[in-house]
Amino acid sequence: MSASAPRSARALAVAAVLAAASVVASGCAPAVDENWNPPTWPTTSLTVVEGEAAPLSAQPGQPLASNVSPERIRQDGVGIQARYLLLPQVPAFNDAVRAYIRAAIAARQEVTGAAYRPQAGDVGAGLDDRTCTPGSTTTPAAQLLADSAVAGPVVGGGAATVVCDVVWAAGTLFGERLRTVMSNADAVTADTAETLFADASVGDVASGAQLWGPDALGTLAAEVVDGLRRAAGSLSLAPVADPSAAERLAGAFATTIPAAAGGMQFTIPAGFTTDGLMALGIPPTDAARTILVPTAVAEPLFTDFGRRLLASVGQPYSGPSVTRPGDVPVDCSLTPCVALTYDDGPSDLTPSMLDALATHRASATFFAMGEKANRYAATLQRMVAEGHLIGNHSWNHPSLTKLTDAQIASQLRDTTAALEAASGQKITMFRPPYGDYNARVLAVAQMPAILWDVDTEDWEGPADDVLTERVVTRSKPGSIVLQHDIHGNTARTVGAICDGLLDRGFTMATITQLFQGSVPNSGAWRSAR
Amino acid sequence: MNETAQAPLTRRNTASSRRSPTPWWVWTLAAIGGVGLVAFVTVIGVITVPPAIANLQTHVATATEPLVLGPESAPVIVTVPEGWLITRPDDSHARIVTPDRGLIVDASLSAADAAQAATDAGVAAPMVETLASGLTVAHGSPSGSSEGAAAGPDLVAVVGPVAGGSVVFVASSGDLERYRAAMASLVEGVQP
Repeated sequence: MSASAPRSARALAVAAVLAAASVVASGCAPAVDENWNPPTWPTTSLTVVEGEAAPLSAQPGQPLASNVSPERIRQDGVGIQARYLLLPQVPAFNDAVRAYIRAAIAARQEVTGAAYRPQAGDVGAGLDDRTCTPGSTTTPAAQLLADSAVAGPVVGGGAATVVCDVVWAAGTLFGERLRTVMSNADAVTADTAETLFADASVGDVASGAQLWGPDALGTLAAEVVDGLRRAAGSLSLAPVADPSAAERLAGAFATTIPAAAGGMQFTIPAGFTTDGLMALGIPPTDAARTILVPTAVAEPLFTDFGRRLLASVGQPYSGPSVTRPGDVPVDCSLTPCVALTYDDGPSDLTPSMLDALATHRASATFFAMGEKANRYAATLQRMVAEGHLIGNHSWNHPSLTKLTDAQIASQLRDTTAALEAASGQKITMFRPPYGDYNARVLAVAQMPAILWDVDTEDWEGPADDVLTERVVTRSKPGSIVLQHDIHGNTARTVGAICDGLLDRGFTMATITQLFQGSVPNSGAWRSAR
Repeated sequence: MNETAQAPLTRRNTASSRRSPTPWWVWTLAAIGGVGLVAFVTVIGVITVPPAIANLQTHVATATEPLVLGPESAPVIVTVPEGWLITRPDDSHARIVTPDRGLIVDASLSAADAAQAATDAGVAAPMVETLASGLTVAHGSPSGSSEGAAAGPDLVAVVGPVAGGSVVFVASSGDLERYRAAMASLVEGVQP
């Protein structure tokens, strides 16, 4: 013990010193640098986010509903159903939209070998539901095709389904995205979309791709590719030399719309990739990605139209509204049309009929009598102002075949003069009273005689529902319906008849519209078929 | 030793022999005290020595002193961003930490190629990319991990081919997205 005690003490002392040294050493760890910031990716002007901007609604009851003219066609011959919106007073935009629809029709004609003719639905078809279903241009294709209110009827194992969304409405700028889903019995064979913009203040139109100037693709492609690789979680700092990027991006540019918060955005679909991304091992995008381009970056890359679009951000929509039937753009080669015609007026009943027609955005043709022109001048002027058509129905309703040539000429000439004087509209057609005409009458008239193929016999006083049913069920695309705006039942049933025709998918057109703007100069015509 | 020095010792031994024996309880107390002291020192040692040793093995990365993993015959050189902390438990492993301790990466070597090593590390479907260095990186989140979770790594990135196979980086962070670019700079630091 006498020797081991000091040794133990020394050992303990050494251990204590080591422990103390350890404590000291453990306290010597490099200090945490809380001010240090991790490096960031190379600065990019673009932001990549998942998803797409929510579309606007132009459904009935929404403010935009008054600014658009919705159309819906369903044609079982070639297998197509389409919903799209037209704008009042912007014919260039409407032409572009119709061209898009016609391209889908042409594709189906090629597949089926069938010819397209406007087709009306059965009674109760529900085709009065015409506007865009918000979100339908981004809904999964399978979901669209499962909805009979949207999907094209299957013909020859396939169909075309065209849907629409309002993607922009600000200032005088309006944007509509159209999407076509082509399918066969097994699968979706094509799913394409195009965005069309209109500036109602100048009446011009541009596609999404046409918003960008020639330098835009080259300028933005590299940044988009870099943004996509970062969004995919890439760790590589290798630069992407990607000549294919601009080419692939061109399709995405077609989806360009203004971003609600300013700047522009375009959407890259799921499955997007480029040669450079593939070479780096970056997989195709697993979901749609929206690329946000700040105003400062987008503006110099934009066309004049694009800059106008940028400037509209934040403004309420101030484009034209459909305030009268004449504002409805009508193309009877695309949609099934029917012409409601009223003889023997005007009368005191006519203004209420004009009210009902206006409510239903329905145009009509009034074959008025010369002897009433002066008395009902205001009514005639209202017809013209609201977009209806006035035709000649003789001075006092004689049977023209029983008159001499001079008498026929007098009946028609005096009436034309009186109607033109009262209404301000040029008279270009006539309807012989009782439908009574012959070659001599036509020769003297030097105007086309417009007859009818749907005679409602309203003058016999049928019940309102019978009268309505006659018009709604007997009408075919191109039909001309005979009624008289001097009978109470006819006046009372305008609204119900319009409802029934709209439900079957009809557009109510004037005679001129029914003949697609080219009424024959002579002859007698019972329909436009 | 001379006699002058020995004399007092003899006297002390003589005096000691005359003392009564030390009581048993003194020895008991001394023994208990000794055992307690040894236990205390041991505990302190266990707590402080490993981190102390680690600290002694930790150095701050510089541009001129890259991290070398593996044997001298087949070294793998990793240029760690300047200012990051490197701890070397042995020649084949390193712990690399950002200066703010927000990202902790354990580096080791694998004999497998990058994609296989990533799969072996639990990444079900690794993304395989070409790096600016020309090497390949296979990376992804290991199954069951979730960013910010306390347990488990958040990202596995394997770079190869290098001598002997590939370099496996296993990263943990409370905010991986914030440190993803930092992670990129680290994997790009592996020399071909």
